[in-house]
Amino acid sequence: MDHTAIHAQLFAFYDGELTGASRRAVEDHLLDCAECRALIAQWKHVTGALFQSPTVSPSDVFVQRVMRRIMTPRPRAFRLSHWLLQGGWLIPTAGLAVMLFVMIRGPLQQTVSIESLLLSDGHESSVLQQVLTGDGSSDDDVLGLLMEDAL
Amino acid sequence: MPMDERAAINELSLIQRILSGNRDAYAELVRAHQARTLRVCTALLGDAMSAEDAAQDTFFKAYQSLASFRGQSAFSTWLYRIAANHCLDLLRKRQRERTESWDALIEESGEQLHDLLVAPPDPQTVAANTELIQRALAHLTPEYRLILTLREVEGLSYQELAIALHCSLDAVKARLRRARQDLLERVRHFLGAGSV
Repeated sequence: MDHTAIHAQLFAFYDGELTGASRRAVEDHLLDCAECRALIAQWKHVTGALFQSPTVSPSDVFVQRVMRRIMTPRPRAFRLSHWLLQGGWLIPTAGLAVMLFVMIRGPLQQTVSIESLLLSDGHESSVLQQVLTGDGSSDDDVLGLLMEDAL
Repeated sequence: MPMDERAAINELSLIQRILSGNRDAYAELVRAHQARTLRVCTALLGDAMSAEDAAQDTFFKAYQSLASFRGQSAFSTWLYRIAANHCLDLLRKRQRERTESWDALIEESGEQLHDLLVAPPDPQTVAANTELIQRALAHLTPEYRLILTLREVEGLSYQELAIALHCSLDAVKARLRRARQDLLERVRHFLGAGSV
């Protein structure tokens, strides 16, 4: 085998992956070829400097962490068709409808109840009138007026 | 029966137990392989925190695809494959984010790198230069770094490399040779005269 062919086999030889005749051919070649010997020596040096086995040990909770991840049920992937068929959209839609209803209906109800109070009960209306006209400007003022009225 | 064969059979029966619903038994597999998996992740990623996360991700992924393990290779080799793929993704991501050029590294830390490469390799010198080594190795392609780490640090045979990297024996030989030549080319001028 010539130099080029051996050169291509050199790292396989270094890694102990050659056997029989190919191994012997590289061994014979190395006796005479300084360039190939230098290449192997250089690689040994580089790998010794850059590829040392790190001295690490797993943390004490390594196994527990892995097991916790395994035991935790995985959230199911979202699928639009399943969501529609299973009626998952009903709850948020209903919630939204209720919210809109309350937002629209709420202030109307308050207006009606104040008006009805003013019209239905003359006793309470005096208090409410003061509140509505600005005589009772805070919660404490309203409470004071109501207590005054009750006495 | 040889020790390795007995261990493999024990592992296979353990895997059967896990697959039939005994999830707790997986802890035994994790315990048996955690150190080696963490070592390869550390060798590939450099920093301890990323490595521990990556090793845990490896075990989680392995659990998810445990049913696909047929016992045609050692469980550890199969695990290497998962760890390798996971770390490869992380290395590719890092490579996209890397900003330092090889020339800038040489300019800034050439002397230190020279000292490291010309001195007889010893664990203390290597430990003192961990960061520099990581910066230097970050310039290899993720594929080269992976195959060199699995071979030089973990000592995987070509057959095991072929399984772990999901390629042919010829591809392993060719990739290893190119990876070594690439690295030697980069550090050649530190190693003195002589073409690589």
